Amino acid sequence: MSKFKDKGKKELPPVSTASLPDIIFMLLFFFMVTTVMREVDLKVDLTLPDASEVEKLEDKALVDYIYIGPPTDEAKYGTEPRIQLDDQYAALEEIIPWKEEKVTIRDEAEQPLVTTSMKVDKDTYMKIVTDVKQELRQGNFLKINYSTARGR
Amino acid sequence: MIHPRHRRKSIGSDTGSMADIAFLLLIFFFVTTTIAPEYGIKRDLPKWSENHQPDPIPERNVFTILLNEQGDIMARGQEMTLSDLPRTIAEFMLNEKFEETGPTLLVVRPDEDGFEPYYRLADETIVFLKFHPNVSYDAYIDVQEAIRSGYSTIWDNVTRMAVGRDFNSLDKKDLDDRALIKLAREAFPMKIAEQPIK
Repeated sequence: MSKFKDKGKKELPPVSTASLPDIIFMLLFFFMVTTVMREVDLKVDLTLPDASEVEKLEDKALVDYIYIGPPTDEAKYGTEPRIQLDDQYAALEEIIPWKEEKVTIRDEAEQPLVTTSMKVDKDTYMKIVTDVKQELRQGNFLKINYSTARGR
Repeated sequence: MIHPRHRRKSIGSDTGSMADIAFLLLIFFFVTTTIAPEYGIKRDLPKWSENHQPDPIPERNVFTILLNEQGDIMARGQEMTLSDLPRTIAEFMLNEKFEETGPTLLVVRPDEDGFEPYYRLADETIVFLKFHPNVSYDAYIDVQEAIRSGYSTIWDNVTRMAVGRDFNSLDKKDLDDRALIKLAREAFPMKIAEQPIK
């Protein structure tokens, strides 16, 4: 009997976990390559409206984002919806200079393709959105996008 | 001669923690990554002009939508639900009964571009959206979407008449299909004028 037992032990080596890091690293590299870092720290609460008749935003390098919504820190900034450009709150008048700066850092050939994507909280009232749109019109930045969640 | 005890020590280096490190990095990228594509409704704003007096458009070529503070919709003088709006727009634009109150349509004959005959608008026809400044963005986007949905039906009608295919089955990447998309969009251009109610 002991003869058989010995044989059985030899045929069961421990499972090697050495290849586990390789697998994980492969996943890691995949994510490192495909990743796009989150652009900004959101300082406004955003729940995008749902929509189904939507298009995909193709080239994210050619998109500038304007965030509009109630401030995250209600105690400090109140509940009135605010405009956020890059990492800070901004006034309406700052939109044109901000867009002009954004345009100059891009290739001349790409400039006409730049879209301004508006990420607006769904409970925001339209007045502030209209005001922003009028500013963009005045600065001749006419391509816009209403960012939505894909739902329904 | 290597002592057996020493040799046993060097056999397996502990690679278990390697996986932990990689996992940690992996989780970091999981959290910061935005793989999900972004969706949205694309629009072109009209050019700014100081004395913005648009050319008057005859009433039969304007589909007026009113959106009040609560998000109630009134289209061409009739209260309606959001789900009725796309169909109403399509019926107005396609004006199949050739009513005096709707836009005039022209028939594009096959000898003009090789397709089966289809309709197109004779004059500039717009959707005019008037909304209360306090209406929620959500309600506004719903209406924008309904307008787009209405035009989808219209374009569908055009491509079905011209080549017998659904508009949604057209592939943006295909050259011939792209020409068809352009054709449909030019036959019934989606023009939306907006104005907040003062």
